[in-house]
Amino acid sequence: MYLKRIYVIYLEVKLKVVSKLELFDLWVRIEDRDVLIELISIAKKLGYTALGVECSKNCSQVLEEFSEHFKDVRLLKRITIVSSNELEVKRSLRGIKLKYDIVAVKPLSYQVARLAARDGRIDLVIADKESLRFIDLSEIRLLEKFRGAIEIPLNQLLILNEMLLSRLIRRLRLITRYDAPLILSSGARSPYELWHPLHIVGIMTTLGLPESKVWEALTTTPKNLVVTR
Amino acid sequence: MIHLETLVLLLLFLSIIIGGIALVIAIRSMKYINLILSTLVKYPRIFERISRRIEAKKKIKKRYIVFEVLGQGNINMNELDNEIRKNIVALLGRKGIVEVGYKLVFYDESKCKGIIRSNNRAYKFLIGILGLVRKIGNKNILIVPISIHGTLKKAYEKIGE
Repeated sequence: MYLKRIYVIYLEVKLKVVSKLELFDLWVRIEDRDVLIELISIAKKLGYTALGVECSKNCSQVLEEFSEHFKDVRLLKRITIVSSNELEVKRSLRGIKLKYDIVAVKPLSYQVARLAARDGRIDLVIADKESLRFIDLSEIRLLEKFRGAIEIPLNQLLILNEMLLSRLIRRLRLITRYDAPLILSSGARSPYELWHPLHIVGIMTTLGLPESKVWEALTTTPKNLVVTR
Repeated sequence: MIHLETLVLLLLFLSIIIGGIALVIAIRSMKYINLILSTLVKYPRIFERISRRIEAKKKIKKRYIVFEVLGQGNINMNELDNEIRKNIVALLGRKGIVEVGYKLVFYDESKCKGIIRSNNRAYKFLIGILGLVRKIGNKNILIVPISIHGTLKKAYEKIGE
């Protein structure tokens, strides 16, 4: 009886600890001002303290305005470069760190994937439906060496077929074995595409990632990335 | 006859000696305790493996998840139940529903809050499944877990707050 009570108290304390953690969601895609307001309020309710917002040129002014307005949620400017050409990526990287807080690359070829791992200006390499095949063992080792991070957008989980899901599980196994830095973000386009941290823990542990690694991917790894870079 | 003062002094002396010995043992064992703690902190997977083994031996007990539905418009209890069941079946099969011990116990349509029953082995997985439920009909929804309880009474109390 007492043990049951203690266990329930432990669960409650764990939930409270979770609510006090600094949670990061580094990929949110917004094009509308009203959607951004709704999204920030729901993200705040879910316990997020920082959001990486990718928005169009008109939206960047709105972002600055909102970062002053919402003080509980930190807003970070983010850009995603999608390319299969190495030269094109190099050209678009010039002076990019002055404008954006987070730079992510979605590689569509092995050359771009290797460049993204080696280049110090690039923070994240996205591993989604199209780019998952380019994230192999040597890429993971490179990322570990040059302190980059792999980002898995969770909205992809809703649309992956069996073959891609098995590929994702294999990559997750590699990431766990080599202890490569991992970041889990929502990739949300609307407030209802956001993920509660407990959702992420539940679904990722089912896919084979250890719970400690999932919490690391939501808290410490993105924090280190934002602070150090 | 032993004098009372000598007896007190003797007891004091003895307690100091025993205290000293206990302190030495504590300091020596601290090294090992530190070693164990640092290993657990350094390699959390060891801790997880141990806890997983303990969890596997544990008796199956009921857990009640209190949740809130954020979304556009009101949602019927049956619609919600069907959608969650569909997602469990898609990921685990029909056997999965039995293993997870899923049941939608209660759903208050006015408050948009409800209770789901599960067990202590699979409640985390079930919370993960709730994250996959994003649409009911044409309405966008998000199911947010609020708390986990050991008894239904406590879960109802949480909804009543």
